[in-house]
Amino acid sequence: MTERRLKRVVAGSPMTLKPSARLQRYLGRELIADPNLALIEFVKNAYDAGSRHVRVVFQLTETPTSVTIEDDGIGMNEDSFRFNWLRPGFSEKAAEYRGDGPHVDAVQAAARRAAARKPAGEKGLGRLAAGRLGERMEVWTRPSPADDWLYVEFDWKKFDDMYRSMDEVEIPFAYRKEAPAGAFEAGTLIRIGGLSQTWMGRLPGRPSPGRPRTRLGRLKQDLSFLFRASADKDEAFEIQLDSDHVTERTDVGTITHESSRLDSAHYVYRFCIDALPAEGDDACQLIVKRSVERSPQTAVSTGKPRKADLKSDPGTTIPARQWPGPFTGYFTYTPPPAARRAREIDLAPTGVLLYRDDVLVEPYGLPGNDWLAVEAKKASRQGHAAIQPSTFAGEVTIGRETNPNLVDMSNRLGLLDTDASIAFTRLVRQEFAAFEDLIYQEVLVEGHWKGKEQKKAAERAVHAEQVAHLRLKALAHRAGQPLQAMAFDILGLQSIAGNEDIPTDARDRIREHSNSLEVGLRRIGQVVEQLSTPPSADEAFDPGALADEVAKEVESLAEQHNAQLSIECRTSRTVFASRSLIFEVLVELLTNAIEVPRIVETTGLVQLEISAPADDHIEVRVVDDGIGFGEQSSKVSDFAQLTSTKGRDADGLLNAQNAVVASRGDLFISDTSEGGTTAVLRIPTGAAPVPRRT
Amino acid sequence: MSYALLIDDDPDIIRSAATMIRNQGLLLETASSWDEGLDKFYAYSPDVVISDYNLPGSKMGLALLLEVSRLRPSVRLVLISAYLNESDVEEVRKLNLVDDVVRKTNPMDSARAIVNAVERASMRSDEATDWVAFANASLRVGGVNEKALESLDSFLQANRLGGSA
Repeated sequence: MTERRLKRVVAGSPMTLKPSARLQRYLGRELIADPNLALIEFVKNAYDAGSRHVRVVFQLTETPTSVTIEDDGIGMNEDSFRFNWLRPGFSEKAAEYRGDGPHVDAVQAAARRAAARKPAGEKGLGRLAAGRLGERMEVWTRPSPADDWLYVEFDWKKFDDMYRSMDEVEIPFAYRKEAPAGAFEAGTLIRIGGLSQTWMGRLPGRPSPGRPRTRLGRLKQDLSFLFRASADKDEAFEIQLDSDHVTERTDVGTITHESSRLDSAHYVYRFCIDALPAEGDDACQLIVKRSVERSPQTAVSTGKPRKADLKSDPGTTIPARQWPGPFTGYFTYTPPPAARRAREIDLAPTGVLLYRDDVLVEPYGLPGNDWLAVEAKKASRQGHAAIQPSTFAGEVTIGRETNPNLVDMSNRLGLLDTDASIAFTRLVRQEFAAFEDLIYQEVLVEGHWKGKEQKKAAERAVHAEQVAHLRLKALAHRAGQPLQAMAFDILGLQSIAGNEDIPTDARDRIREHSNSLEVGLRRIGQVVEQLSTPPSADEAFDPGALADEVAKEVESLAEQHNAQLSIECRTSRTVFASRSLIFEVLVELLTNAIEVPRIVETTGLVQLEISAPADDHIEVRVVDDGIGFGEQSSKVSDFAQLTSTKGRDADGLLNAQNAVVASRGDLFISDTSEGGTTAVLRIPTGAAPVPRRT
Repeated sequence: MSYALLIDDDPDIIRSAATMIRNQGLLLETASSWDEGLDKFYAYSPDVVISDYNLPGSKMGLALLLEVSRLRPSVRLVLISAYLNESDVEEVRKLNLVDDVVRKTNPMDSARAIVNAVERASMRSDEATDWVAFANASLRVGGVNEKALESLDSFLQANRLGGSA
């Protein structure tokens, strides 16, 4: 019979392909190597059918073993089953579909969901993968609860005869009132019996890092990455995995697609790659937009902004045939122990997952798939890699419509090797290199090596300060001894001035000189005392009271220069800084304001105003009516460039600024003109630094 | 006539103070170390001993003041120092051993305080002996808490002399 039939085929005209039934066996049993991927094909179909819930239930303790995939999506009637399901390679989800399939009165909610989703599959091959999982497949399906269940039974053994063509194998079907217990009211239930491999126990060999050890655990992990966790998804899609036997408690459960990756990351690097037609023929000019987002902790430790746009390369061109279409993505850097925590929460394999319209393009980014060659790069850096595979993750998103040239292989082992896919991988790897450079600079160079240098420098500075203070103290003590002796001498002179045996005019002159000496000695004594006193540590204090003390300090100087001091304190807030340091800074500012030359030789006015313009600092404004900085006005933003009225560097002002900035505050000249100058001192009210002026 | 004894290791201070005070007609003996000071204490029996805290010689600090105080309870003691801070001064006063503590923070003020101490001692010597005060002074010396004194002395020597203030 078989020979006769073959002759008829040979004698016929025209020639057509008539696939042997065995082709189904090849496609179904041998095309997809990984049983997880075969099962995921059914979950994708359920997603495309607009399901809200999918249940994957294993029966492993009964004989024969089975797995059931049931969904509440759009079910099928007999016509649609024949039109769609029974035609391998045909898919209503394909772009070429003309919309000429039979009408199905589906549940409205499922239909709405299906219409809103971009299809996860389009080849029409996934259902054949059932042959990879088991010898028998039974399908129960109905579009609505009002219909009977269409029951179809596939026995894949019947397809082993290569002398029969595919359409000669009869597939039994019937209508049934009942579906197996637990089925949704409408939708599709597929039971695959006589499972071709065991799903119990652990996988042999060494467990991969971040990868569950059990077969079911791995399936659960793969399912958890199947759909992209994104905030703007139309609605929840939930997969429930269950089994009558589990090796580990975490093997089963509900799989949602929330992710903590972004929350725990120290760096999130985003990129968006697009292209414009370039001048000339057949070329595109790339437009690359990059940004980086640092965690609050990282922003503080690096002193860099939370969010920043990064510089893009000047537009490079790419041959138009290589252009894979626009795509976006992000990478994260999460150093331990946050990376470990994230892995525990997410069961996250580290890697960059590739999603097409929210559905994973397998196996990109799954454990063992290092498509960005992170591991290889790490090995080539010989222990100096900025990014370890365990600290790195990310997602790249392409679209069916935007990237038609990026097509994945039917065996789910990657993208088809085309010019576009090669260029796509190259472009993503370039982004990885740019991200790695950023991490290298900020984490390793600045945060680690430079950080160590800074720490050492800080320790040296503290030590130097201690030594300097001890030396100052010793010098002050040495200066204090002759001053003390001079004090007795002055008392001696004053005593002589009281001796009535000496002529009055001589006594008066002695008294006058000795009194002057006493004033001078007192001033020197104060300086010497301050030299031996270390600057106080940060403390909370009242700026108004300090201003009064400063005013007292410069009182005699103001009298000498015929300047009037006015102090106004408009806040009752305390500040948190080194009181002695702020005292010195204010003395410096007021001294400058008092001594500044004035156009008109009248009484000068120096105002000191204290206000609290923000919660984190108070502002002290020292306003004078002098002639301003004149020709140096343009340099007031940089005190290092200023010279004093005596033609020397303005060291006093510069030192004051350095001291204030080191104390988390700020000091600057806000305004200077022929009518006067305003210096602004910002003092923090807490431990946080004052924002620097812009 | 009363003697005052000034013990300080700085020759300039000794010279200027001695010149000034002696020109006032007051009697002042000086010493540059504690051992020399103790000799002069025996020799001149001063009414007031003005001593620097940090001295070369076999003893320094509060311990030597306690020693002279025991030798003659009625002697007036003035401690001078450039190292002690206000809180240290309070602690020293609490011991009830010295009559005054002069910090050398302001040279004019400390010079005047020393001269005043000498003048007061001189004035007292012109008066009849106040035996009640004498008896009280003996009681006061007997009541000094020696443990507290030793403890404070050790602390000051360890933390104030040339160390961090």
